[in-house]
Amino acid sequence: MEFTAAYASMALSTLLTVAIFSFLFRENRVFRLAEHIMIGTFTGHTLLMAIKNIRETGIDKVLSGNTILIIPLLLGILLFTRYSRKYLWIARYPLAVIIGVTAGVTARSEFQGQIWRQLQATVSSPLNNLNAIVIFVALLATISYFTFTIKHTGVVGGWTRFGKNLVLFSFGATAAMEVLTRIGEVTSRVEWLITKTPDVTVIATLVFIAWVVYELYIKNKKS
Amino acid sequence: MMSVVLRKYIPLVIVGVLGFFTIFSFPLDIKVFTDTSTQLGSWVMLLASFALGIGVINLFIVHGHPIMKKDKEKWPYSAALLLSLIIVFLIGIVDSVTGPSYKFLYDVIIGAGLLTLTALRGFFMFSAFTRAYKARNLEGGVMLLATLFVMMYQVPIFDSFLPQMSEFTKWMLDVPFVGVTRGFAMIAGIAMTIMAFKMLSGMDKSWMGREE
Amino acid sequence: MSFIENISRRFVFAVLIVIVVIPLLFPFPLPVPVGQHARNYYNVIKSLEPRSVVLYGLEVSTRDAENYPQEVATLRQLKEQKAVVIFYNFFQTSSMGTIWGYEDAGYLELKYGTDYVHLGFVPGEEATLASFVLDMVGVKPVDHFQNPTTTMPIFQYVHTINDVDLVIGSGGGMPGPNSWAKLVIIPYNKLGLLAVTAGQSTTMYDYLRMGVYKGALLGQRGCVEYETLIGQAGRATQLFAPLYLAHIVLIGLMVATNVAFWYRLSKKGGKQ
Repeated sequence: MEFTAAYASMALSTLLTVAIFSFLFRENRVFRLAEHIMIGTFTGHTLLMAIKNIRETGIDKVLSGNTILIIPLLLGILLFTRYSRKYLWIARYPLAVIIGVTAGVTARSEFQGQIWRQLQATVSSPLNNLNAIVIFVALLATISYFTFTIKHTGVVGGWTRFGKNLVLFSFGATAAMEVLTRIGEVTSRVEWLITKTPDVTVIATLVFIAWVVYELYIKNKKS
Repeated sequence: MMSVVLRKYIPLVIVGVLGFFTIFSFPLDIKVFTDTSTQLGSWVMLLASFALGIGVINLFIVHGHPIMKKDKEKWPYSAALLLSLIIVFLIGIVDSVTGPSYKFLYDVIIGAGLLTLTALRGFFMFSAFTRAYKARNLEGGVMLLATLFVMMYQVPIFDSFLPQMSEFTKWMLDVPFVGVTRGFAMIAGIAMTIMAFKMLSGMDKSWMGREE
Repeated sequence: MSFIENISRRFVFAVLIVIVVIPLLFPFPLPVPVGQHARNYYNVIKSLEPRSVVLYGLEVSTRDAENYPQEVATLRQLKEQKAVVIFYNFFQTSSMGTIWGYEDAGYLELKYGTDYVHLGFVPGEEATLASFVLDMVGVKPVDHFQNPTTTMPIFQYVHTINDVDLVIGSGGGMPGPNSWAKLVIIPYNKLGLLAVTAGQSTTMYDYLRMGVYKGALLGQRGCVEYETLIGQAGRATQLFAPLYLAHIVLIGLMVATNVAFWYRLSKKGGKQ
């Protein structure tokens, strides 16, 4: 492969990837360095996007005549007073705006989308359908398991134990799906290493294996 | 007295007024309410951008400290973090976030780095499932069975020689599992709604930080 | 049998790397039967009229094996249907993933601002989304490339959520498809489609059952089924064999560990 700036960047990415994967053997300085570099780059991107948004939807809009946006711009600057012990309370004003609007949206959407809609779906299903009955029973068992105002003894205890087993069943299914996603991420990254910069990958891997051999055998023998 | 009103009560009133206005502006569907609600959404968008900046400042404080104190163990890593942050920031300012160099930088370093850090979890999950996922009692057995059924369902080969298992798992995910997740959704929905109303009514003041 | 219980985690990591690398070096085809959720997803997009407006809530931050191929495959079919697409991102890292996806799907051949528009990262999560659907141009006056949305051809006839024909919620975290369902699809009774990671799919089954989302791509397997339907094998199909092999090995190892565990318990008279 030709040595270009693009290839050099991809080689750097490969080295950082292998450095992070070195954590699989054990925590080490190279991993820590790579991890810190990754966090730094991600945060740099976040900062850029934040500044971009403030400029585009705040400053530029104010300059083009939408003067009411001076208020949130000033409130945003006031957020930084949280770093002063004396003026810390001023930061509560912009926070109040964020919390007020967000809590209002949450209250509305949670009720409509997570409670009311679910109730409607449960109640409107005809109970001559076996699946609807099973869903209804599972729903009741789950809710009763998380209800702590009644003692879970006797018949109620048996019912809540059934609910607990249903909940654990769902956790097991969720765990299975979760591992699918994670292994998919491993596959993507390994595929990139093999296809984009195979030569750098081989060299980095050989260095890693040499380090592992040194740590496992040579260092032990010396000590 | 005035100090307490300014520091405590006015922010609480702001939270309550804005919150209840946001809740009731939707069903009422009156233009002036909808327009005000939209305007408030723009304000929150701007404030959220400033809040992202707070996170970055915190990072500078946390990682600037070891560098200033010349902490032998920590300062090289903190310096690497802040240096990479500044380099990315400068490239983004010079080339702009939508420029070709920044796009390439993101693809090769930032996006790749994110994926690598999350891929580590894949290895540890694989190891945990192999070594630690044991059925020590009935409940553990139930959970393990569910995991095995769903994993086998995801792999097409099991459809060929265990089609009934595949059908059962599909029914399991579409019916009883739905009942359980609906229960979770309703419980979470009730909890979030109560939490939101507690904040709006001033009962929950944890967002205000420490009392003076 | 105790060696299975005492297996080193480093050995397990090495096993995973080997079983992922082998099918990448020696690929083999894997027929995957198409499920109902992927079929419904395909059929909903197939039924779109030309110039239908699609609001695509896209959260692709990395070139992974789930969200990214889902995006590319979906956009390929949307392009075939000549749908107009508006991209919206909750996360600051998703703006780049959106660009990768539509470039790979061939959207650069289309007219920006008329056939598609990338609004980019919109901070404020659910609070901002609730306002955006009421006044799109008011909340987002410029797109990701700093072009004013007020003068774009799309936004001459798309002003609010009522002008949108289809909402696609994608992603793997919060906010994500859950937010689209609660804030947009349910309150405004919109047609919705879902494209999520396998990990998040478990929380979405209820919405599928209720008909909030009419079709879904659930994880990488869902995307493989969809790529089969659109007749274009993409990244999900290409990376499915390692996932398949890893799963079979993992199932075997889990069963073996538990058999060894219970064998040891039976020898010790039930004591752990």
